[in-house]
Amino acid sequence: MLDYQEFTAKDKSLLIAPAGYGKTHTIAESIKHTEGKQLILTHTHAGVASIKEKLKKSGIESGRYNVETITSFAQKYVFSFCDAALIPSQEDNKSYYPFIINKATQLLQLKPIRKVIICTYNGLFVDEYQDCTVEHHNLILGLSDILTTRLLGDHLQGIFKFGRGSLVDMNNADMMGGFHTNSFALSVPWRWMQGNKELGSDLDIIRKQLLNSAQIDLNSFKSIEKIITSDVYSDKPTYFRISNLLNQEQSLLIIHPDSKNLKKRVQFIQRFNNRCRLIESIDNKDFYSLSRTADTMTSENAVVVVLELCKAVFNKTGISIWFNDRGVKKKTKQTDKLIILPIAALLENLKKTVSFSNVAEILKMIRKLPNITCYRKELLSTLCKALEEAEYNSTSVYDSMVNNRNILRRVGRKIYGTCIGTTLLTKGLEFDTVVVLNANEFDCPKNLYVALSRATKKLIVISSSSTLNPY
Amino acid sequence: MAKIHTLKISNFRSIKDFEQVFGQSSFVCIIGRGDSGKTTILDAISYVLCGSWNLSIYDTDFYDCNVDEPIEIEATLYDLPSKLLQESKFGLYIRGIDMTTGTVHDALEDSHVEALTIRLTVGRDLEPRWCVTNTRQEDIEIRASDRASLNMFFVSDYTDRHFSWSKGSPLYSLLKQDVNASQEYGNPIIDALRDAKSKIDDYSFTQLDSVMSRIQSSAADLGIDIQQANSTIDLKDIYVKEGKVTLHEDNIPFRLKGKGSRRLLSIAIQVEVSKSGGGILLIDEIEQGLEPDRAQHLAKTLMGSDMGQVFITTHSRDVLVELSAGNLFRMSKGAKSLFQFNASLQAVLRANPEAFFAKKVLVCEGETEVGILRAINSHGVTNGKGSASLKGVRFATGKGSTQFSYAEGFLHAGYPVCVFCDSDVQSTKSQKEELAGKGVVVIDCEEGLCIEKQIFKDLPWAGVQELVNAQISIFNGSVVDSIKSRYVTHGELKPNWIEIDDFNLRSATGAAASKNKWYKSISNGEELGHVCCSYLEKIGDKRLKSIFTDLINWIENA
Repeated sequence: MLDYQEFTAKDKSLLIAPAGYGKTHTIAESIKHTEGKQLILTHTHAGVASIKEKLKKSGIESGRYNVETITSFAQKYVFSFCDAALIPSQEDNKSYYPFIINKATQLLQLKPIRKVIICTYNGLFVDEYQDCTVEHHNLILGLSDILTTRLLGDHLQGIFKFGRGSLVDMNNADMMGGFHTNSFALSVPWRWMQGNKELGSDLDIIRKQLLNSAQIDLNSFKSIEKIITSDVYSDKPTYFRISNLLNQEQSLLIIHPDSKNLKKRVQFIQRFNNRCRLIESIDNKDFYSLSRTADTMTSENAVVVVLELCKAVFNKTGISIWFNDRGVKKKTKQTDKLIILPIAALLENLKKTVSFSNVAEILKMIRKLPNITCYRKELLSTLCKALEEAEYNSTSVYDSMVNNRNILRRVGRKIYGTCIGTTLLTKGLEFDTVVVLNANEFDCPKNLYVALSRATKKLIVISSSSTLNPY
Repeated sequence: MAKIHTLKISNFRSIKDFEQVFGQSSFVCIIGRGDSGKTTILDAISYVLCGSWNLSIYDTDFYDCNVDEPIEIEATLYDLPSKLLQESKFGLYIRGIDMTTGTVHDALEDSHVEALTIRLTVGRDLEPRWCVTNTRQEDIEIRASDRASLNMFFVSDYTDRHFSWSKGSPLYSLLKQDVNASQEYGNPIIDALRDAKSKIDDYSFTQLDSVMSRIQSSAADLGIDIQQANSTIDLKDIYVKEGKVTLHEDNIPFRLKGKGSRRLLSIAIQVEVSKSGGGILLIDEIEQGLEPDRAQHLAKTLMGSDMGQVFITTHSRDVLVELSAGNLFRMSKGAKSLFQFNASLQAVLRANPEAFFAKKVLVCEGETEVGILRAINSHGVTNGKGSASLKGVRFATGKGSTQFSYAEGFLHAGYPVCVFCDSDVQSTKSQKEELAGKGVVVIDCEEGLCIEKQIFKDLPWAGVQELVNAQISIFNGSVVDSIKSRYVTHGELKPNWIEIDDFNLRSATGAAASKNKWYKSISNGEELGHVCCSYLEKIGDKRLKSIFTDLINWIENA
């Protein structure tokens, strides 16, 4: 049992906390042992949402804490104190994020700004510390000069690869400075105590094996449902099993090992008839590129642009049923004519006057057409929102989208229900039931551990082989 | 906490454009002639830091009554309450003060002191708008409760509110600071009021019973039963707020006390409030209603306490001598900023506090000269000319050579300065030339002469007779003896010497007058001056004539 008093009393302390071992709970309990307002930083929006929920459940007054991602915290200071002309465009991910973090690190060294921090916060918690880049780490070190700082994390979950900078090495005593000397650890897999105690202890064994780079033999874990197949779609029993889960489970997460290729996840959604929601990355490039496309709209190319947007969010076969390159197809059936008429009228209007809110209206109407399926609901609804806001605020769709993404980044989002995502997108989340697809494709112990440890009650592992060698 | 570093005012009352850096001064005394805008500055501070949600602005508050140019008052504050520096409040809006240069920057540096700029804008709709402003971001509104945390407090003639326990009053803030009282007992004032109400409820009002029973039977005739009715007080009227509970002494409410006592008590309450968090205290004409010693004591106490920042105005020499020259700022009508006095003027301030209220200063060598100037002044007034006071001239004295350093000090403080001095000490010659080179008007005697010698040299003989006879009438023979001993190189004094206009006799008399200090006091000097003035027309083309005309002209015109 962790001594919260001791953990929170030190100026600098470090807590090794595997997923599901009560890390968020520990943050909530620790806050009760602190005074004043605590700044809680993490990496993902999902993480922000789950910490907020936990703190609320624990009955901690909302004035006692502020939960943010490190990026949004850094952004807040950079936007407030840095000349806007110096900040790279947000679309330029590669230079934007490092700039924000490095600039914020500099700003937080300034005495007047430190004063603001001290006036606002009494202490700092950083969650998911294993995901910190060296740049993040420097920013946190700066804050730890002025705030009592507690770091929480698990080296085995350090899966973020932003493609820039290297991750902090939590095991490196030099790098971790004063934190390493006050190191604590959580050892009880609480997440599974209620729902599936066996799963908890099985995952604890897997954790130890992964830390030792040992081969994982799925057959030795009774609590895990194993499906050995190399093709989910053509193997009928597997397909039906997944189909059943999609129909029955309230809290279900499908994890695909390939985080680079969105198409594979979209394909899954298609093959299972749109019965689960795609978890979008907040900064997925499609959000920005479609906004830019919308911005190119003139009365001449209006129809072309609308169709281009449609092709990105709807099934192409559905679109080709209703539209050709010039616009709405001639329909012979009376019912079809009636359905498509209002859309055709709006498209005609668009040719006269460009109106973003009309584009949003058209997209929403197309979605309701027969044979049309939307595999990227979040992308569609966000795009519609950006279109409407662009018209309302007389800005470009792109600016509205950037604003929308920023707000989401700041307020965080909740992810629940039936979803499909990757380890990167679901880290920190808990689902009752988790299906890990193509488990044999994991080539990194960290990713595999994160995928497996998302489940609280039921874990289904689909793999071409019953032994896993994610090294 | 919270101190004003920089204050900017545009289009407010008598001020068109004004900007003053107070820097790290925590005690600011603004002096200046009447109507120069001192009170306008205090009002501007009280408006921009106003802790209540509303403020009545009238067309007459606009410069030149021109409502098309908005009133803008901007205060840049440092030493801020930490509540305002929070991220969620105005922490992200801070600016940086470079204390070495006294400049405010929006690009923060490590050496900067954090600051917030609050701006009050009033346009032609007369609606006041307060915001926190900088050049990095859009302005953000600052609410009354946040402004109230700056603890600005104006001691004005209408301080009655300060003796009540209403919300927002300083007494109420003290009550809230007193954690024991506010947490354990709720609001004790309201509880006492509830007690009072329940006592009235219990009162039986038996005197009203007969009337009541008549009404009851009459009502019963008409078919309405009011047997249960009784008389008590209507809640609407008994709803007394805590604001109605005020400080009393011997059953007399403090609002009826003398002006001085009210102001002192009001300041005392505010000082108590400021002890925990500091604050900005504004006192217009600090000496008002107070005896000189109490005004002096008050100024001294406020200057010595580190309660926050104090702004006062004063016309009192008694207050002034208590202050350090560095705390003094002079406002002149239409000025774009205040003149801050240099700490090196301390000695001048102690010796000549009155002169600091003047428009121009005439520094005299001693009391004889001051007396002479007083005589010139009353001579001018009786001849229909304006008085020195009307012209804003003060006479200051600097004994011996300090006269020159004082003169330089006043010159440095921005006053037009004239020096009225002797020429009997050789070494001062170069000092006078130096002063004249810096722009001081030097009016002095002929080489080697002091003013007494100059007068006895140049005054028509009848005047000399008048002066000598006046001395004789007081001191008898010793006067003649003294003249005699100084005339001795030229022989014996003739018995009718007083009738003979003689150069040597004049110098002997002048020497005697100087040596025996016939005129070394203001009143004797004034006598001397009166005699000179009465012979002014007859003096002829002599140095004495030019001394007097120069003095008169400088007072009149400089």
